[in-house]
Amino acid sequence: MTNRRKFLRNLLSVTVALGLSKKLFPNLIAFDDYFDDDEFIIRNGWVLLKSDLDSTNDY
Amino acid sequence: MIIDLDTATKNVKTADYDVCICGAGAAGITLAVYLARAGKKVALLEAGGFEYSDQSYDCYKGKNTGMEYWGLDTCRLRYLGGTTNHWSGRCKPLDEVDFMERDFFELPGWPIQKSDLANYEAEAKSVVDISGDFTAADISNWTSGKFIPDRYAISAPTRFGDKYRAEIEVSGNISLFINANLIDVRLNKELSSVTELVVMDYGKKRFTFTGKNIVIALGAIENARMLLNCDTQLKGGIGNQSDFVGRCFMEHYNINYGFFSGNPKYWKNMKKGLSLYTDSQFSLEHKIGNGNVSMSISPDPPTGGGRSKELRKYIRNNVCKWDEITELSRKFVDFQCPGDGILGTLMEQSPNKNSRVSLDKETDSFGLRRVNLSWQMNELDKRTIRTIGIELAKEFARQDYGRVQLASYILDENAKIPVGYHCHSIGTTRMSKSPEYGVVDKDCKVFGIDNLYIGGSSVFSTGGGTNPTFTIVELALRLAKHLS
Repeated sequence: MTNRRKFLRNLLSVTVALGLSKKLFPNLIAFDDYFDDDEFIIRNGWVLLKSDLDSTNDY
Repeated sequence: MIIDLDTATKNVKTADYDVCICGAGAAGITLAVYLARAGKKVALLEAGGFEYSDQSYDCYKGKNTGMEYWGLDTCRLRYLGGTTNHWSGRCKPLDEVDFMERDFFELPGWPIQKSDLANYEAEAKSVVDISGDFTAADISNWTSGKFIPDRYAISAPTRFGDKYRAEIEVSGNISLFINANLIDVRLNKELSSVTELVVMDYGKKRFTFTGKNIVIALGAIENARMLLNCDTQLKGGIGNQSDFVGRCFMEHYNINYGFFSGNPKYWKNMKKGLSLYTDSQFSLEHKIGNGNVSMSISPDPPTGGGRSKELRKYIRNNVCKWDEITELSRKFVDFQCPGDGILGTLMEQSPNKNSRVSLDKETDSFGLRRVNLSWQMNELDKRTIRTIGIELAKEFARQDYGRVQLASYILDENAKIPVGYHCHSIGTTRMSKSPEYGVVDKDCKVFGIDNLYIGGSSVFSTGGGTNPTFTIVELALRLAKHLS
């Protein structure tokens, strides 16, 4: 198998996996608007301060 | 003195004790020892021997028809020392809020106050071999008013059978009967007083024990099972005039909230982890139960053994290298990566009549109907679990101790919450002001029966978010004083 075909196969696999994961696990994105205040936000289940989105803090 | 009923003759002394205690676990042994020290003649009846036996454990077999729960013959231990033979040792008394009337609970609370048990706290510490104060992690910079550092102490843990066997053996006031299975509780004609206990060894020899007072302390599930089985004189069983025997079975929910990422500023030197407890004002304001959340950082390399060790090791060595793959994989398999913040919980279950112990049609080798446990969670409990999880995650971020990733079932109110447990069975013969809402009065005496008392966690009206053994011991000391 050429490198080009390997690349295309892997790309297809990753695309299908990501699509399936969002279909099977909608909760990965479903709670973004969970809080209706100015202080907190949810990303992929993580309860964050809104200011975290502009932060470089990665712990 | 210790007598093995399996090898005893019919001539052993079984009559005229001051107190007959059925069950030699935390409650039964504490009661026996303190009554004997006060000069009372005590018969202590233990259904098992000094260690595990198949014939003893067979009596514990039963059905689970509610939420998934431990095997009924594995979570409880049926030999001298009872379930203290595998308890964790975490000790903390109930809080004042636990004794308060909480009108958002389905049923009334305790008819006693924290102050009624406070006098027994020092002695209870000595029983479980802890000294000093209940202490919390030193996190002076934690300023949340919603969650406070939990104060507790850790017992060795004390194995009651091992610790007190020598004292029981030489005591002139305690007769410990092993392999002594309580089969029936017989009442007088007026059905107002216990006249005798029917007891059998495993060879089915029959003995009758008599005493001025009787205490049943077989554990929360077994206390209810025994009272329900004693239905030849009283329809529905002893103490069951309001249909409360077996009801309000409670546990402490062990909920997997998810993970957290800790701020190294605070977590770098936090070796023991952090244990937080709901502040009473917070839980009252939200009209929820209380709970403990314990946080720690998953170590590297993996600890512990077990069959899954190699799998966990593989996951840690491979999957944990890529964040995205880790996130996705965790949807299928629950695993921890080195450095993950782990959240452990012990959440209060509110009293719920539908969560109950009843009897099955099948019987054990003594002809007693086996137990049918239907453990149920109500809407209030779901709100307790979700509110504590979400508010804790917010406080964690607000205090900059880290960030919490909550499991989807905490955020999605329509999702089913996967429930774990702690082997804390409580509440099946609950204490109440009147028989309308319970089985025993404030002195642990069964309503309507002059000389029958219940020992152990089955009398808890509410369970708090706290391990129950310390309160079991406090109540046993209080009952010992009452009967002395």
